[in-house]
Amino acid sequence: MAGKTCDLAIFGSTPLAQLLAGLLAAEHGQSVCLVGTPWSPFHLPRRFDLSVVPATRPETWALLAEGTAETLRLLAGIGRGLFERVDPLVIGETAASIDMLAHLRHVASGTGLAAERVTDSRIVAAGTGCRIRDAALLVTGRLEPALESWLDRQGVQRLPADHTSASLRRDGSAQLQQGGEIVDARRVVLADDAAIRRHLPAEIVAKVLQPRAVSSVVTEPARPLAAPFVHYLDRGVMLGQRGGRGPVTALADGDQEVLPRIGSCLAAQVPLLRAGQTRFERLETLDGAPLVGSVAGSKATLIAGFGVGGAFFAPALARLLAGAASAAEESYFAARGGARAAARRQAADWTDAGRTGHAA
Amino acid sequence: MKQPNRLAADAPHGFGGGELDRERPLRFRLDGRSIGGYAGDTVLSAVLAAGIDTAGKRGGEEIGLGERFAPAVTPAGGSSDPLQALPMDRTPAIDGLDLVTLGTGRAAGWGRRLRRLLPGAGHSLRQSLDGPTPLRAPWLQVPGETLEETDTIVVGGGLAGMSAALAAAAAGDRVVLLERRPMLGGDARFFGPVGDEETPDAAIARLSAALAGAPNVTVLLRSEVLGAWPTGIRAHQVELRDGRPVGRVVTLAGKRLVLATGTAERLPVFPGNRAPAVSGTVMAFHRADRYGVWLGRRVLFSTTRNTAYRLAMLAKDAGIEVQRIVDTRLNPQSRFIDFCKASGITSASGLVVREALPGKHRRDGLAVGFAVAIEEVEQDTEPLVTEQVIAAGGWQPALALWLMAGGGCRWNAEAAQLQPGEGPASIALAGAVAGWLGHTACQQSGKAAVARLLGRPPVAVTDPQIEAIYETPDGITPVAPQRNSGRGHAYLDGGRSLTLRPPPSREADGLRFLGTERALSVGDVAAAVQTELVPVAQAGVIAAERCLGAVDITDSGWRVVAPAAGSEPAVPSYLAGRFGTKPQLVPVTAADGRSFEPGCLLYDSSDTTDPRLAIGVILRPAPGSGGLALARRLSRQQARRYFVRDSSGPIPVTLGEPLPSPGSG
Repeated sequence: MAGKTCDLAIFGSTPLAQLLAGLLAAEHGQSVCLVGTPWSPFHLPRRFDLSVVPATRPETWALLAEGTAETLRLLAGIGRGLFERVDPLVIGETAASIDMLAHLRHVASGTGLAAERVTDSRIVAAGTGCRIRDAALLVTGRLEPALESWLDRQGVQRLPADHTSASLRRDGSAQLQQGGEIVDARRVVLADDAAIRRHLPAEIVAKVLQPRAVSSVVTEPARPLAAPFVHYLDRGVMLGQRGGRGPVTALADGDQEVLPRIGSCLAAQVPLLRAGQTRFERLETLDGAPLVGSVAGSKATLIAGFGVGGAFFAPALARLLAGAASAAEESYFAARGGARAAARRQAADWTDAGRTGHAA
Repeated sequence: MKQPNRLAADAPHGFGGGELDRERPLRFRLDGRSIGGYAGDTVLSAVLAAGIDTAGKRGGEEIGLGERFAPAVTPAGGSSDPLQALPMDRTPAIDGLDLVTLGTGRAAGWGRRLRRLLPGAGHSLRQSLDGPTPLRAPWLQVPGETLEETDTIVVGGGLAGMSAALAAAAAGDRVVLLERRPMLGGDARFFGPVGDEETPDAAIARLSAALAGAPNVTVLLRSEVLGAWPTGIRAHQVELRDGRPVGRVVTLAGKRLVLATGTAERLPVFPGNRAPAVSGTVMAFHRADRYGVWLGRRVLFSTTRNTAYRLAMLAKDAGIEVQRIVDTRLNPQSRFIDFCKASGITSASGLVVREALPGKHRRDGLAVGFAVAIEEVEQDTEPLVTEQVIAAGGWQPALALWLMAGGGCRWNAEAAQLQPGEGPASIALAGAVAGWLGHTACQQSGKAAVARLLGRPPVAVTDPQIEAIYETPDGITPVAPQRNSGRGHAYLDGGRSLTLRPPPSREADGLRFLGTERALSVGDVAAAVQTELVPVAQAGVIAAERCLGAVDITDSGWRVVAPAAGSEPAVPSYLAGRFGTKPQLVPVTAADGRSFEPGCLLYDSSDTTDPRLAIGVILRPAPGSGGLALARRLSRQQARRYFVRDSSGPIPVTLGEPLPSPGSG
């Protein structure tokens, strides 16, 4: 049976995957299929998309700053209210994470962001905070439908993951089949955790990535948090709140003492009724460096480990995949390839693995 | 004080109240009001009997008081102990108690006394129910005491739960059986005897006696299970200490868990479905059967099930005027329907309640309008005025604990129910929650559940049903056709979530009305699917994420503990390679004697600010001046002037002799 062909099949359902697919089609003239799960407004949030990350590498901040400007210009053209400006707060409570925040603050400041040390006990009950001014937080609920319409306008063929069978070939290409339609993709990009787990054998994934349990908890409307986004590094908890007095969304790493840890971060708001909770697993790199490239056993391109900032790397990643990356981008992503363990160690960033779970 | 909603002590069919000792009247105070009752009453049943049937107002409309929606009460005097707060439906009424209701917007002291004088105050607890989550349960904040681990935990004291507890006990297990109500038996009495089966009363008496004689079974009545996981539960129990009711929260671990949580009666969806005089059939039966309580003296039934006809006959025999039974099904057949017709009860079929709207004054009753139950036919009837509407919805397996413990569920379109899917191996479902209907089948399923958990040979369960030509099958939960009258809120379910059906103009925006700000009930999700607010394919996920019961998130004292000294590497891993492959540790001294914090960047030019061009970074401050830097290897021929940038700008520094090569994480 004769089928269509496309240059790239992007597998993924996150804003990063969607932006990547759209940019490759719109900016780089690629024919693109996006295989993903359509966004559902009924599911609890599973991530935050924020333009700042707990990173200390200058090259990461430089790339992120450029990517943020590009991404926000793009989103402003796609629709209104797809992102909001926030001053996120990151809090460290152990000597190591307080030190890391100091490094982060100096690098972020050097990159041109306003990053402040916060020690006011009314804001940071324990430890030291770092507030970064004028970051961008993508607005889930508005973003996804707008991106889906934009993708359609860019000619990206969207295929539902649950109803699309994909045969990945060893050379990194794939055949996709949905209903009676067959699409031959010259190159496969696995752009989110679910896609990687679905399409790669576990033993290949385990070479570079490890699963980590995450619980998503939503509360009833609460008094305002210290910031619309707060990340407690040592408690493994990220909190987000829209509209000042809205429900709080909490993402807590690990399986242990999820609600007590979240409760400890919401001491000024509790008691709060839980409105919903779910558990899922995300993939994190073994060394803390993001991953862009293939790993032994598959020629599919993997994108993983970019954390909350992932969507803002989309413009640079699109250029990389289209062969149009700048020298700095080439260098950045080359150091974070899948097959270069030694180079990756030299590019590793802060990781919170193993930091949570202390109880007093 | 009068008890206008109390049936006569000798009302037929036991509608005088099986729990009551009419020889022992009692009196207690609630919000300063004197409430009369009898030994055996709960606080709620006595309050309902006294004519108080309204919890308060939400959006300007009164919301009925009931077993699923009542404020907590606490001893008067302002105790802040959350264990002093008690649920009205599980708290025994005791002579001399002085209680106040807990609730948002409740006036205190003189304010409360003045509010009692307001028009309509007599029938209402006057709670302010606006806001996303009214009617808090303070005991949810209590960590609780841990009980000794047991072998098998059984949740639910109906026929299936009792049978499961006895089967586990017979196998040698230590068993703890928890029941929410003050008595065992579940809803078996509601369904009555069927054919040649043992009567519910006989079965309950037999199983209760066996449990009482089983030394390895502990029965905890008045115990609501708040949370469940594959190896345990958390429950709130009301017990009597020194003649006074007190609460306690317990955590109990067990090797096996049997959930015999039964099935819940769905709330038909129509404007006014949470009005004070609207009840479900099971709730109405239970109030009359156990406590001799019936709201009003005229009643109108709306049903989709045959069992409502039985209740109508029992009510008529007890002296209640049954104005009409309206069935959503077209020409339904059943022996109960025939009995009703024979006894002169008027019935109509093919109609759903369109709305139930309270009159301007209490004495005006409820105006209940009906609509033809065929979507294409938009035809309404003239409203009937009544004092009470008993509205029978379809059944929904009570899956909340199953979902909390990690079980899945899926939508069954034919039954219009969420039904259990796969779940943890240490948990078994028994009875109606597992889909069994008959009394015998429920008892068999309790034994079968235990056999499965113990890895023993399967126990057969047979559940014969009467053929449809003799008994019209139960219908699904009625949903009123949408009208644009704008009068009366239509809720999706009868519990605390207070989730509204959106008006017709906003139906497409289902999420907005489901909201993300409160937990949902399984009934909410089922109604949301039925009203097409959410797609069928999403129902299982929504239930799994949102129907997890009420849990208060509190600050329980969890705090970060610093890792042991020396557990962190001298040079953090995130600095690896940043200053070359062989960086060096270099003491830095500031020209002005200041000390630098970690992270300050070292440059070889005062003009440079780009961190990518930094040649080093301060690792830690020095006690006196400057700090210790990690820097790229510098040749002595390189620039002689160095600067560290801190918050005030570039500070000239001098570099000391490099220290031995650093380790890196």
